[in-house]
Amino acid sequence: MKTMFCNKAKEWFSPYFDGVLGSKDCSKLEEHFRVCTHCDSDYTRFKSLFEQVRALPEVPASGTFETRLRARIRREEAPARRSWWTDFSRIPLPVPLGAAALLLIAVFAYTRSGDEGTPTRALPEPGRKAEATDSARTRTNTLPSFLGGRGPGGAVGRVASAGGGLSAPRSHPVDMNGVPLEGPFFEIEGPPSPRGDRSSVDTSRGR
Amino acid sequence: MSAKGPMGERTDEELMFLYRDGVEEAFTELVRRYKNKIVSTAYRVVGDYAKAEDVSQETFLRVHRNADRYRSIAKFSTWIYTIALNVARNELRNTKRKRLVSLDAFGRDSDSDSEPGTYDIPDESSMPDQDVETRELRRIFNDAIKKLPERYRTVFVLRDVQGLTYEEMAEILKVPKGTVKSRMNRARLKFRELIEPILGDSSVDR
Repeated sequence: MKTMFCNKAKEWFSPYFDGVLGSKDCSKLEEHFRVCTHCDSDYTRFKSLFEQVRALPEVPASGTFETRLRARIRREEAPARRSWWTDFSRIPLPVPLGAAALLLIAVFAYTRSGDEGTPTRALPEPGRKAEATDSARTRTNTLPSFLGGRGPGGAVGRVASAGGGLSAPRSHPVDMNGVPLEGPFFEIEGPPSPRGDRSSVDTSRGR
Repeated sequence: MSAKGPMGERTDEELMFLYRDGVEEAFTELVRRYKNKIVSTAYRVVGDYAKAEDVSQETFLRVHRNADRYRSIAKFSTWIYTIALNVARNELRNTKRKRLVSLDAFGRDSDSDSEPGTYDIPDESSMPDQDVETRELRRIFNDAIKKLPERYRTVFVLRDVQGLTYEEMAEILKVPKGTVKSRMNRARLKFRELIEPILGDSSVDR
């Protein structure tokens, strides 16, 4: 016959089975088993069930477990394959951005100095040929020949025509865009000489 | 620490220190000792053999990665089980997020491959000494373990399947020993509720 103590006894099955029930409670439970056949047989079934659970075999690892594990460890330890992109992406971003910005500023400044307003050169003194201080020409002179500057031979570079090929030297000095360098202050006296004297053209502009 | 002497005679902690010092063989021995225990534990927690192997591989990888940090404050077994359970829990969380786990009704034929959580444990057929009844009982037990709520399932597997002590479980789960006892009690009561209708044991409380 079930008693009030039976519910308590049931709570003690698990620690009693594991040998972790306190000694006083152990004695009480064992005494209860002596007087309560219901709890006694219930505990017998409990014990049998969990002894069978404890007898469950281990679930074995697969035959390839160790091989696969070794391969994964090797993969982790191998140095990463490097590609140009890997190297490039390691450069801190501000570096290429800064380089690009500097380049843009340089190009901008270069083109701007050619587009600035009316040159403010002094009128050539009578009898004195205007000095070739034209910045465009100067610029032209400092440019590589393929960009319209002086080539190794000192010749003024040729300017590419709109048609694509190089044109014959113009009779008037021209700027980077092929615009003749003449204005109200200049007197075009003739084609510039290959070297030196460019007094016929005063295209100085402030740089 | 000298690497002399067979690895099989070393304690787990000695092997771990040897591995930390660069002795590869020590790690091989540790894997040999623990791979089945970890796969077994992981299988009964996550309920799927392929995932259990993944969990176990990840467990050993973490042991490898953290070898430098190993200190003998805790037993190696406690440490590796802690790692395994953490990885298994993560796997369960990911699985829950991906799909609903359908609970099989007990007693239904569960050999269908399409059912989630079914498994094919290797070498099951290579145990000819196990008769059909024993294998069927084992299947019923494994199914019941899968049905336990996660925190009951964990203590149940650690204690009744892997044989860890209450002290070890308290350390692994980072809960007081009293909590372990209480969960163990609830886990077994729940397991009995699941099992007894199948086994035909009707000795429930009157």
